[in-house]
Amino acid sequence: MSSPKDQLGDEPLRVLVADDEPDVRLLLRLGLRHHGITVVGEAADGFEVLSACGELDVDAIVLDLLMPRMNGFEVIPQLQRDHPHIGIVAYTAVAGDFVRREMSRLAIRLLLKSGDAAPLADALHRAAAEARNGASR
Amino acid sequence: MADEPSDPEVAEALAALNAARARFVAVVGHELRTPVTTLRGLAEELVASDGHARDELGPAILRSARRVESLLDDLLLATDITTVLPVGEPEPIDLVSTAQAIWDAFDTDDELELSGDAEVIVSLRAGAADTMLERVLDNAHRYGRAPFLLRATSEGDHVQVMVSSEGAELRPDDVHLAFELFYRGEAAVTSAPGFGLGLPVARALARQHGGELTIEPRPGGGLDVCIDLPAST
Repeated sequence: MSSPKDQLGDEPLRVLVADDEPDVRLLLRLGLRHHGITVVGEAADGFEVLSACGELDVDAIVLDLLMPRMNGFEVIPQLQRDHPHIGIVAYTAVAGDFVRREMSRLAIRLLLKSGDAAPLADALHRAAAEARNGASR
Repeated sequence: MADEPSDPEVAEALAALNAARARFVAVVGHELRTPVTTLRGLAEELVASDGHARDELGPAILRSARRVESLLDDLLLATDITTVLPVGEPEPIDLVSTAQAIWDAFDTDDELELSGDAEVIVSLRAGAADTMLERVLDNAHRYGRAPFLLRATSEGDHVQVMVSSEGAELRPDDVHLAFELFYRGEAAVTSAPGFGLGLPVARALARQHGGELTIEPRPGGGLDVCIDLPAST
């Protein structure tokens, strides 16, 4: 089976990491590099996400849902409207019915935070491929 | 499947207990899962690292471990579990200079604007003043907006420290929920503005020392958090 990563060739995926915890951003920056991903930017809230997406070449975003000032729930509709070519993976500590329902409604991949970067990397590659294909249609 | 209790009161009590358990697990999971999973991931990176990343990983692991420890104490305090309240004899401490030092350690360009008395002295056990003020100031900094104000006053045998910030307009229910940590639905937990464990912890510490912590929404948005404590004699 061919994975979305295969379809991207050898170029690393360019990812924006959005989380208000600096150590989570550090972990993802270090952990994702083993999986064909370059973290090109970091954001600590939704405003910084929108600003970074306007300035950087981003294939996909790791999006923490609970951030100060502008949270993930608020920034997703703006990203889908203004940056439809960017894949989004919601990355959250816990996901009850409300979060699962909302992410399903918004068609966003949802992942629980983990010390293992491999599932997140896979989700990012897939979300980026889907967004790229969807935006080009 | 277990039989349903025949006594309606028992059934109601069990349902309430189950609901409380579910809320507790949700909030504990929310607060603790991030630092625990981060700690594990950072440790794995350290084991696999070839050396150059170790300078970054060591301090980050230490920060995460300290945060887990602090959160565990906060969770116990916030649920009125008093076994981790500070011990030892109270000592005189100035809340104004303590608050200013805590604010200065935050990563912020915003000022903490002081007014009222230049110092207010109370008797608190070691660590209690730092923790109490840090939680209140962090709550303002995290969820509020400038200007950030601290007004200290003495009245009779009591002192008051009021920390104010602008921010979202709060409904009366939001104020009530600030201390009802485990009585919030997930939609409330995941919406902004939020309340963490800070205010319940600060209130537990104020009460341990014969004081009280109250909050009032500000007209037009934001919050006043008032700490009232006996003055040091």
